[in-house]
Amino acid sequence: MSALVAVRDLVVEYAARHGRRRAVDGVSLDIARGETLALVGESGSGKTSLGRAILRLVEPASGGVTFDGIDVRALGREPLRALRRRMQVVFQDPKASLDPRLTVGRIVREGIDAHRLARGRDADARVERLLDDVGLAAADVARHPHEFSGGQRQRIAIARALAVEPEFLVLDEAVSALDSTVRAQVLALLASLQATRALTYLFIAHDLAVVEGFATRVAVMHEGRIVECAPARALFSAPTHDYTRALLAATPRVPW
Amino acid sequence: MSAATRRIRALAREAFPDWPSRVAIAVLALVLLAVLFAPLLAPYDPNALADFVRDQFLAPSMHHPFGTDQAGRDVLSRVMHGGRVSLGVAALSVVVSVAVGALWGAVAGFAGGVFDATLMRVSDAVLAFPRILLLLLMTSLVRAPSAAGIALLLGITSWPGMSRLVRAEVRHLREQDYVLAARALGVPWWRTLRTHLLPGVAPQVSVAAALAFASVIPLEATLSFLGLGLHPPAASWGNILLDGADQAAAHWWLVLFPALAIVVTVVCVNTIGERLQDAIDPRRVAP
Ligand SMILES: Nc1ncnc2c1ncn2[C@@H]1O[C@H](COP(=O)(O)OP(=O)(O)O)[C@@H](O)[C@H]1O
Ligand SMILES: [Mg+2]
Repeated sequence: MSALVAVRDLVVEYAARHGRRRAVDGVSLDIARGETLALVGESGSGKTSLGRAILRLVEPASGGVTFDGIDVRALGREPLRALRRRMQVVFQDPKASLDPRLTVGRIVREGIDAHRLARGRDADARVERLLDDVGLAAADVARHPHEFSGGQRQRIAIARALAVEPEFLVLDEAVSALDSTVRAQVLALLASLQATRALTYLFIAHDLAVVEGFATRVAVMHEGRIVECAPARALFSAPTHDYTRALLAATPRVPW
Repeated sequence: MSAATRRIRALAREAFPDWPSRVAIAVLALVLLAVLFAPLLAPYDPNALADFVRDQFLAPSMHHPFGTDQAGRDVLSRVMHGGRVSLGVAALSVVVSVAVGALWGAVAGFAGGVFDATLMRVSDAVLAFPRILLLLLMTSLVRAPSAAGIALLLGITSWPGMSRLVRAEVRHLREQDYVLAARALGVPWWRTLRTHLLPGVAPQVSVAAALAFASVIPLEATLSFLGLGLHPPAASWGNILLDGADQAAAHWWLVLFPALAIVVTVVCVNTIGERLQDAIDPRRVAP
């Protein structure tokens, strides 16, 4: 099976006080269509940078990213804009990722309008259906983000991402800010959306506990590199890398 | 009640909790009403050529609360009508300053890089030149400028400050996750500017506009006082001051009342602007 996302020798650097700082240091990985690849590592290990480089929200210093065979780094403005429909992102902090001035309706509509997927009443109907799909009410379109709880806001962010009918979602610590009950609910929602919409996930977390039972495979990231990548079951039962073992030892094994 | 009205009410309550700001609002409202409806409310024709042997230099009284001037004209009526010119010019100049400054700053802040650097050097250059000098230079080039012309000059000497403010704010907002989300969605940059960034800077811009309005009133008066502003009979508060200046020693009311009009208006607008600034302090979490 050919990969939906293929990353080769990817390097992401940021300007730092002395020269450059390497956040992603030569990463290669494949994400198969329909799977959930968990990307786990401590804070600062480069997970967000890797996810954003795949989405071309940051420009890599070198290396390659292909999405369904398309060289993401080679795309000009318009083809890139068109590709953005197919890959989406949900951020960690649902407070920061929703514009406080806009209504939920306008937030969810943003992608629909940008790609002219529907207009007028059709677009309204689409927004209402999306809200329903993520477990919110149609009447919520007129409300503002601050009227919702953290879990509900994350549902809004998910609806916004799904509005353009993507195939691939980067979930960048999408449940990390939520408490355990709400987290379980959002994870269940993500699992059911994945099933009904044939989604592929890159699921970023700093905590192995969140990943168990949700991921197909797990990639462990440490200081900009992938130190171990294995099917979830194998990684949890027989980790091969010392860093993974340390990470596992630090993880309370409470299934979500 | 809609969410918007509720938010505005809450903001108003928060912004004007103390009596100075409430007094400022009440007084400013009075001034604006008097000025706006001057043609209806003014007791006399501001330019009437009266019997000036009889009516010249009358001290304030029941008939002429602000007294009369050397031509026997009612000073209260002149100040009310003059306010139309002064405040109108100030308002128009703020509109120019906001329109140019906000667009300039927003594009610079959003684009970043060389584009940003270039735009900001231009506004720095304008900013570096003393504003009053720039105004004196330009007014000396334009003979007998109209009210709109003066407003334009005042506006184009004040937009750089506005552009700096907007740029800083846009640069801050640009880093927000919801702007990144818009980029990930493939929202075109101009649409992001319109939906996320410009509305985001609106509160700051309104405050800056209020403060700019307050600062431009005395500036316009200064120009008129120096004879570089509007020319009679289009009298602004500055022109009225100029008219009365040489008789001020004997007839204090000729300068006191137009000066008071300026000071009271400026103080009220500043008070309101500062309270608004506190209310929208970006360090506080959005509602
Ligand atoms: N925009 C940026 N500018 C400079 N340094 C950054 C930027 N984003 C991330 N970094 C640095 O890159 C490293 C990796 O960060 P990140 O990709 O956010 O890791 P993670 O998501 O695993 O916490 C960190 O050391 C971080 O400080
Ligand atoms: Mg991160």
